[in-house]
Parts: sequence; structure tokens; C-alpha cells
Amino acid sequence: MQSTLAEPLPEAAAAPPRSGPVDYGFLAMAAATAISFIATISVISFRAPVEATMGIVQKIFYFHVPAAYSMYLGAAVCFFGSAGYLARGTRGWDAVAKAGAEVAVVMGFMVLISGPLWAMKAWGVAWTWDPRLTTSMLSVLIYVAYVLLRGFTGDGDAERKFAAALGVLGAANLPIIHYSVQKWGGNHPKVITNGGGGLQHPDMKLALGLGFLSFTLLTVILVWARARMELSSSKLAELEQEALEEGIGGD
Amino acid sequence: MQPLLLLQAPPAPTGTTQSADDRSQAFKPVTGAPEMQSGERLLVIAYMAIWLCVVVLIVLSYVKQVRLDQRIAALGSALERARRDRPSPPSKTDSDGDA
Repeated sequence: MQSTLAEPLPEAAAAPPRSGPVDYGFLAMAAATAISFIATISVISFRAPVEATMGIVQKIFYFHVPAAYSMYLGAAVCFFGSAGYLARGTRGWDAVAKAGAEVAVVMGFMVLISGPLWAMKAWGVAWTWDPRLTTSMLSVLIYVAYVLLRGFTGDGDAERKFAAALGVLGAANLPIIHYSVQKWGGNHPKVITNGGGGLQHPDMKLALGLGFLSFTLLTVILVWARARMELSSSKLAELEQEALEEGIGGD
Repeated sequence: MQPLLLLQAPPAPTGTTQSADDRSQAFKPVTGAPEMQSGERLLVIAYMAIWLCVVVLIVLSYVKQVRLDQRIAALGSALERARRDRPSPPSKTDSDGDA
């Protein structure tokens, strides 16, 4: 695309090309993610034993915890992208920040849906204002606010900088989520701890490990896809501007 | 004696010896009742919700990316056509140098 235009677009160079090694890398990553998920589901379904007290509903745990970890990953990507945008001001960093926030929202919804379903069985209620639950919901709401801000405001430099500030400040809640359960107690279980955690069977640990691997790959591929989409949007906006200058109207 | 026993009413279930007013104002739980929430059902709902979140994001991203690519390709070719059809400026060497 770029070679067909007489004047190269300044931002177009930042967009990964649609063909060539980048797409093969993307496809390879997608295939690895799919294989990893198949392996994870197989281990969860056929190898990991049913938990003695809670029964089969405990198997929500193998997706709930990796989804929460992926929410942290997405939020961290948003933080670094936002900081990069504030420092450099390039669209590439902005695209990465926006992609990270979107992934954090999706993963956060997974956590907020799967957690209460487990709690209905384990606690008898779907929701309590436990410190970890409350801070997790707050974090999801911060990234929902980020995504809404990007969706409903313009795409100017001021809006991008405001969103970047939100992306940086929003990350401040992440350590609070992690340490809330240790500092303030609450109902939320502390299964993953420095002392080895509460998983009593090797297959339980295997299922959780595969869950982490699958969700890491899924997060990488989703951030990649969403960032590429954002860069394509930027490229399209520049082409539209060029088209207007050339007098090409409408479609 | 046996036929007489068969005609007797079965013993009243526990908790039904109250008056009608008591029954409407005091709810007593049955002990040893089956569980209210099925773990299997909750597990299936949780996994369906998780997959739904992922699939919706992937499908929306794919559809938007395809539309963007089509629009970029259309605009790129339109720009190329417009530049090719544009009447050449008076000083041809200058315009070639700029391009």
C-alpha cells in the first residue's frame, strides 16, 4: 500500500504490513494459543481431580485465576503504552495502550463473571464487598472508563494524552488488588501464595500452569490484533485526509 | 390389625404442626435438603461466559480489521488514480523530483 502512494505516509510505517513474516508470526501465535487451550481444557476436564469440598465447581478456578492474571497483563501493557505515548507521542505507543486497556476490560469481565459463579456455590452469595472483589471491580471500571473515553471523544492529541494519563494512573490500583487480600483479609481465598499455594495435587498444578500459559498467549495475540487494528485506523484517517486534499469526496 | 394400619394417615412431616399464622410468618429451613446450586451448571455457565467474551472480541476485531483493510485498499487505489489522472504541472522536472 505504501509503495503505491507518491508521498509516504508518516504514520503508515508504524503499521505492521498485512502480508509477510508479521502475518505468519501472528498465525503461528494463534495456532499456539489454540493448541494450548485445547491442552488446558483436556487437562481440566480429564486429569485434574474434582476438589473434595467444593466439588466440580472448583474447576472454574483454572480459568478464573489466569483471567485475572491476564487482566493485570493487559493493564500493564496499557501502562507501558501510555507512558510511552506521554514520553514519545507516537501513534504506535498509543495503539499499544488502547489495545492493553481493551484486553484488560475483556479479561476483567471474565473474572467478574466467573468469580461470582464460583462464589454462589462456595459462599452462598454471588458477591460480597470483600477488599479484593471491590478493588478488582474498581480496576475493571477504570479500564472501561478508558475504553469509553477513547470511543466517545475525538482522536486528537489532547484526548490521547488524557487517556494516557488515565492509563498510567489506573495501574496504581493493580498492586492494591494483589495485596488487599493479604493486608485487609476478607473472604477471597489465598490459593496462590509464596509458600506453594493450596493446590494439593500435581494435576491441579498442571491445569493451573497450562491455564496461565494459554491466557498469556491469548493476551499477547489479542493485544497484537487490537494494536494492529488501531494502527490501521490511524492509517485510514491519514488516507482520508489525503483524499480530501486531493479532492476525492465520498466513497 | 393390618388393614387398620393401612388406613391410617401417614405421619405429618416435621414443621407442619404450626398454625396457619405461624407458617406464614416463620420460615424454617429443611435440614439435609439437596443443594440449591448445581456445581455442574455453574461451571458450564462460567465457561460459556468466558468463551463468549473471547469469541465476541475476536469476531468484532476480525470484522473491523477486514473493513479497515478494504477501505484502505479502496482509498489507496483512488488516490493513485487521482494522481495519475491529474494534469501534469507546467514544470515536469520539479514535480518528478518532489515525488
